[in-house]
Amino acid sequence: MSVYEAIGGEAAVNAAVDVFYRKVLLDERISEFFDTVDMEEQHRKQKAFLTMAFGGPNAYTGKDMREAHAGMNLTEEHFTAVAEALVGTLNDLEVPQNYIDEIVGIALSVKDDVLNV
Amino acid sequence: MTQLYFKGESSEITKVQLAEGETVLNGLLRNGVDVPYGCRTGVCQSCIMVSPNNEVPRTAQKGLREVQKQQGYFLSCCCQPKEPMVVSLSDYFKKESTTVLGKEFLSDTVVRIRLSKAICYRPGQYATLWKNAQIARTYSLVSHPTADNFLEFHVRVYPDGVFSNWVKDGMQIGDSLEIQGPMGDCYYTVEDKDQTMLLSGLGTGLAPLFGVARDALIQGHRGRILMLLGARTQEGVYYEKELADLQQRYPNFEVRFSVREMAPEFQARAGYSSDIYTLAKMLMPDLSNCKVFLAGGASFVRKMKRQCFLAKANMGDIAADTFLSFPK
Repeated sequence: MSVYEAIGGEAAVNAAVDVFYRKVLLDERISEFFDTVDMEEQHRKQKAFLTMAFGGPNAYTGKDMREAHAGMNLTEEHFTAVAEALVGTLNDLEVPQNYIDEIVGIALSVKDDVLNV
Repeated sequence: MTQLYFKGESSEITKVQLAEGETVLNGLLRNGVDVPYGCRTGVCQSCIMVSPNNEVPRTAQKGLREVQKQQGYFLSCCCQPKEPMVVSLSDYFKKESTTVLGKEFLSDTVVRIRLSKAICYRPGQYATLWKNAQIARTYSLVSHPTADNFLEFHVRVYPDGVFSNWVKDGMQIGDSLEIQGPMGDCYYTVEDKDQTMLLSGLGTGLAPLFGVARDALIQGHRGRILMLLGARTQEGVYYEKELADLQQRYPNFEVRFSVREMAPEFQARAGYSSDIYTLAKMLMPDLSNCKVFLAGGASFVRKMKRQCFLAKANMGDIAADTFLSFPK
């Protein structure tokens, strides 16, 4: 069973997305990237991201990740801030530590593509 | 350069070459195809067309119902296809004929019009009114489908407003005009009748919110309903009597005003605060499990939506009706 299924599948993503979005909007290191005109569109993107990070069904490729973040001049600090928001969300929802470790592992696996290094 | 094939009423095909970035609506109009249209920004849905057998860009289907999307309906003013498309006009929204029953000034700049009941709707939805085949504008429904035997709209008069000045000066009781709709998802759908509701709007944002609040109360909503209305000046506050009546009749309904440029003598008047965002934060600091309805201009809706979301309203519990300003 994947971690996605273990923590409750799409329902877990739905529970997490509002909490996660609030955290990134309030984090001054990264809020500018998320504070867009179209909150619904941003909300959809974050749902897709969380589904991927939870190991759920997704069609992301390394190339997509690269292209989506190209030209944004993202640094280690930005990546850390998003990772912290992710872990904070999982803690808020009382996800067991072993699942959190697995999810962080998935997020770390796309780090180089996101930072375009 | 994308090829467009327009299928007319007798199935004849008109070929149109779209320029880079050109919308389907503009391309067809440029080639003399008479597509009805209104706002050109994807809200009034006057320019709805159909392309059942082609992939339709998702951005051209924003605001349509799921079933319409599946059937290939799209808004031609927002459609910039990358692939060739076959399109035709849609009779999805038939225009109905309606008669002017009443017209009255509610303030210096807001005219209330009442029309004969030509459509079925939910309060808070909106409809497009056609002055003639060229000029159409979209307004929110204030009235209630069972409690009222008319359709009520609040028309804000703008100095250069083609439609609103016609309403103000030209429209007569007994005139007939065409109406199309209803549209929009900003209406009362609350399943939990004890849920708290926050409704906030600027100017004629009052119109859909009044419709939603009254509908909720008529349907027996028991939870607290707080309405926060903002205006630039004291003169912009309107509909006070109707709101007070509603408040008197239903103890769970409360309305507060916020006036930005307030004369000092009004400042002491209960309920008036100069900043609507501060007032919202003060009166409802925690919006967990609260249903939110917002109506007004784009910058207000954007700012208030963000604030409500950060105050713990769920994204799915925030319904918004963004008013447009028409390009001159």
